[in-house]
Amino acid sequence: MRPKSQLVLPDAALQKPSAVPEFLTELKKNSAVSGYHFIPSREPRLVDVPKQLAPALRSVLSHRGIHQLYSHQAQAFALVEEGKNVTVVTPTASGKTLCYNLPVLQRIALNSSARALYLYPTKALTYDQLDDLMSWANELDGEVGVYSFDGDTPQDARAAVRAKGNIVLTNPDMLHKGILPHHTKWARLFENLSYIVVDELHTYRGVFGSHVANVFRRLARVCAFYGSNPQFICTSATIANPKELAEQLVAQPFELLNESGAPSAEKHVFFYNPPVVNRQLGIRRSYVNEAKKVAAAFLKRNIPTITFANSRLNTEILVRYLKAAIEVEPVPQEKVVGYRGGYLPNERRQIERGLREGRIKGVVSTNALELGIDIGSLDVAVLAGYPGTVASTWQRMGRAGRRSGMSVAVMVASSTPLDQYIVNHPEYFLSQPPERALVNPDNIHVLLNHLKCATFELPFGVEETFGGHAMADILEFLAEQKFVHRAGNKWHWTSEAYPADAVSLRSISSDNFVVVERTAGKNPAEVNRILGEVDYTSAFTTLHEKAIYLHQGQQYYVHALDVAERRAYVKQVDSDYYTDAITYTKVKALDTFDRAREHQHGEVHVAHQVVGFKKIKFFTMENVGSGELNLPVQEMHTTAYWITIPRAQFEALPFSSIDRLNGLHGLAYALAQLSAVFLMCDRRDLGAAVEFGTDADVFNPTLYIYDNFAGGIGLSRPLYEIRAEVLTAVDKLIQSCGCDAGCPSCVGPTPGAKPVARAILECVTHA
Amino acid sequence: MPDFAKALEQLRPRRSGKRRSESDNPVSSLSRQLSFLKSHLPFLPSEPSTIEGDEEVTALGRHLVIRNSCDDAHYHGKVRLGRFAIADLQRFMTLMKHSAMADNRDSIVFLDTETTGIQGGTGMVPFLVGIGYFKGDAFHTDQYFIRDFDEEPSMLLALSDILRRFNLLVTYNGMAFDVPLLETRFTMARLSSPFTNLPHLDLLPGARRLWRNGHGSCRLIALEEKIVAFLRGPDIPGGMIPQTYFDFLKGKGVSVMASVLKHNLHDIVSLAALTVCACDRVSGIPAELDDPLDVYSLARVMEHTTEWMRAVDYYELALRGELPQPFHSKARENLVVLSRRAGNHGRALSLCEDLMNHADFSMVGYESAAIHYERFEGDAHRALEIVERAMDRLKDIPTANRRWLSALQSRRDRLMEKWGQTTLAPNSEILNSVPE
Repeated sequence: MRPKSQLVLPDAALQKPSAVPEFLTELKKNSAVSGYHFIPSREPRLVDVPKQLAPALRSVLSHRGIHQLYSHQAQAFALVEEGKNVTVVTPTASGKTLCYNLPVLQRIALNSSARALYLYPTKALTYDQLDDLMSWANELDGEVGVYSFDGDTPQDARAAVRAKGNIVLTNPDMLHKGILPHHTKWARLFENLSYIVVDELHTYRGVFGSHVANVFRRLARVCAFYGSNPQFICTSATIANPKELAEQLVAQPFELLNESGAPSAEKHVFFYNPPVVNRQLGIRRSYVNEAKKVAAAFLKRNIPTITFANSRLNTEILVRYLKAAIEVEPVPQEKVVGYRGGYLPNERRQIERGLREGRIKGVVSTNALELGIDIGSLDVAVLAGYPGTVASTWQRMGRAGRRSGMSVAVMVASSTPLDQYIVNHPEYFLSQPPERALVNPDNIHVLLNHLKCATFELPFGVEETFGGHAMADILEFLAEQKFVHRAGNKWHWTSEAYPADAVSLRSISSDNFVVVERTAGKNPAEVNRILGEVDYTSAFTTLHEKAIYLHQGQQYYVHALDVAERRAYVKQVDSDYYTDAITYTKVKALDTFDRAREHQHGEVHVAHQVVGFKKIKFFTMENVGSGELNLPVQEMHTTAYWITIPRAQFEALPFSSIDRLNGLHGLAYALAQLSAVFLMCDRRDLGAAVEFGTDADVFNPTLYIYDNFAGGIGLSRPLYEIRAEVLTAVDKLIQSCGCDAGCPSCVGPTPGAKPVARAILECVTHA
Repeated sequence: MPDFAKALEQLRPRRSGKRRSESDNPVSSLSRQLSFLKSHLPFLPSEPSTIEGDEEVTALGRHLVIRNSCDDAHYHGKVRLGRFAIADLQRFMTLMKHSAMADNRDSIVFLDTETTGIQGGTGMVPFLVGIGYFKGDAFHTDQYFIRDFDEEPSMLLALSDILRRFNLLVTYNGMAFDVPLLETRFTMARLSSPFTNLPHLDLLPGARRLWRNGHGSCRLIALEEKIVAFLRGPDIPGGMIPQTYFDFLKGKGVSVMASVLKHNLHDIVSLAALTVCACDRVSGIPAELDDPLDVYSLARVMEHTTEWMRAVDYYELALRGELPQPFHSKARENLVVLSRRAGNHGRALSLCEDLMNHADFSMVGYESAAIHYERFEGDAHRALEIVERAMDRLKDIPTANRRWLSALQSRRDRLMEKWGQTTLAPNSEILNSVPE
């Protein structure tokens, strides 16, 4: 057995920031560290400010102490001036915003009626950028109108935004619901629209990206109506296909700028694998606990640290653990906070401010802080679990060391096969290109909804195309459904509905659950306090009856979930356990697109249901109870790759039927994990399910890997095509795993599944 | 190229032979409601096969105009439209603080729109725009109707031409609905908006001020019945109008469409008649009004105008009637302020005493009494006493406005300071007269 990790230095070293180098030396020696990578600092590449830059802008730049530009900023300026669409891909803190602010402000300086639309994927980012841009506008003698426009903009302020906003900062959801369907009110903007800025382009992937691509199709129609042809300036984190993604989203050619001229601080990257505590069962120490230890070691030295968790639940658990470890003075000060979707906007603004001002030292976040929100300078990023993608891992590691001279990133692996593969092969991770962002704008569910919105916005010509496709058949279909009506050579909207209301860009359903805290009190306003919001799909796993809902490290017991009213009623409790939902998934094949012996890919129906929950004790992780639940089934049509195992061969395997079922589950577990690696997608983009072959309509045991979005975003066909490679890797993973009969790092936590999984794999031809 | 045809086929409802029952099909149930409605419209002529009207041809196509008129002697409810006088409207608009003005009644246009929805946005189409105007002795209505969406540009062009002949637009809720909607349509049709330089009187806010108290709903159809005394008989509910038009586009329910035209016609004529009533109300003799609440409403309109002196009489008149609460107290409170402004301090004080003795706390009553003693009787001590009495009462009222207490507190502090000064320096008048 390996020695225990030793992370605690002598007390004298505590509280002293200067101890970082020594601490890093200690860390490097730690046996749990499986890899260490040093990225040296980089010198800036500076060039002169472009000659044609308006004098007013030049003086604002020098007033801000900017006398030269980074090379990529000057290149972006030049390309935009040439009339090109540009995608800028440079690391965090490389001065990306100037790449678009400079050409936009230049145009406005030359033509005061010019307009620009800035799109940010979240409201939080909008507010972050709004402050910065407002200060530019003020320094330019207030001639430039800069406004944000979203659901929070008061009705009486909206007219001013439309009339005076040279630059309007908004999000794609608002463009979709609030601006395009009311484009006549925005005529001034659309007539003079010169630039559209799309920040954090890489977030527009999957279902969200597919929706946004259709919103851009609608935007193009509206711009054409007003006679404008805006240029696009996009910025993105590092992904494999930024140019392709931009071109798919906007349907126009782009120039790619991916060489950063910005300096960067040196970075120490550690790969940390929690020690094995039981080799036979392959059990390692809890990665959440280990991540806590690592983060606490830095925080105790007063080093600002951001910890990323992969789920809301783990975020809250880590906040609780770190608060217990750090906030220990007689009068504990709040030094560690959580940050995730579901917190109310005010609460988030306070946390961002606390971090910038240094009052808060530690923050635990989901991917909510992965994007460029300004939270000041943090020195250390601890990743509790592999984020699932290479791009996201670098993005999270990049949140440390924006301004300081040195930064540290520690990736703490969980015991899943994916994490274990990465932590044991750091060189593979470091040489791996980041993932491709996939979108499928022609997903029929998505396209149909946006075609409705488009027809609502401007009557649709019979010869007109949408995304380059003829729409005649689809419009005939919508006419059958009485949504549209043809008059002359145009299709018109004929429904009393407002079609944009029925479409949420973020998911297939647009419902949110409100979490309401009920306390004893006389005043009705105090009895029901709104704690936060949870999206429809997560609500069933986190807000079911008897669940422990965690918010800012506080526990709340859910005593009722009102599905019809979309409300969950909770009360604060102090329990020593949390709950983990048990879900049941049933997949049914509907149509086969392609088939090669046991392998198929096609369309499936997926029914997903939360059927129960486990109670798990804090710190010890003991299972201390469970309960059954009866919640609505969530259904979708999507695409899948599946393997059917010939029933006769399956039943001939020398194992009990229970073992055979466990083996099938184990194989699905490993296959889903490695499919994500080979498809270079997020693990959560894929769902896995098995069918044992007991139903009348499914004769052979079947194993499904499905696209986890209604309609599919195009993952199952490539998986079907590379199946041989993936299956070989699965075989190798199971064979080479050090455990005896199966562990979380190969076939999952079911004991005994390992030999069965291998035997099942042998029944299947790999080609 | 994605295979849309196949995907669409899967989205189509399966035609599995089993017909959906009538009851769970909303469209069929709507048509059943419509047929019920039809059976209750006895005065409608036998099933028309088309909408009758004049086809107008413009540079942008064609559309239908349905023209009607009524002469000077025609009564709509109890209102003879012919007595509409421009002087009355001018007076009403001045009292309502409306700056726009029309110099003769023939330059006024009344307008009402029927649309394919109320959801807002660019997908909402006005398929019927009705206008009404006086020409000589007669009142004319022109209803611009499109038989399909492609007639809209032509209709808008004709509408903008005719609207440019008028100097004042009168609508009911047009500020929020009809005008922004039509402006959107003009933009969509790439036509310039006729509304840009057309002064607009939206009667709704004025009607609310005159009739909300005591009459409840101020929807046009409610006031038409209560104020104009016009009973339009069976009428198509507003919520059914969009679907009626969608059905009409499919060649169904022409007679129901005709009832929409009738509905719109009633709306325009009632709007004109209600405008007459509004003018009557502000220029008539209040003593002739049956309901003291109406006198009260009128007083509230008057008190903020140059004719505020008349509000004093109106409030007194209303108070002599049986004004219900809370209007009774509110009338007294407003009258306190007006009496003080008119220099009738005795009346103001007696009203304050009534208010202070009333079971419901009246901030105005106490404050005005304090002001009275401090300023007009120079008795800061008495004023202080009243303020303290008010603060005592306020303590027992949990629902009290928080600002009241702080306002009383600062008044008390100021009075105490002043009282201290006067007791220490009784010759305060001399002190005050020293030039600074």
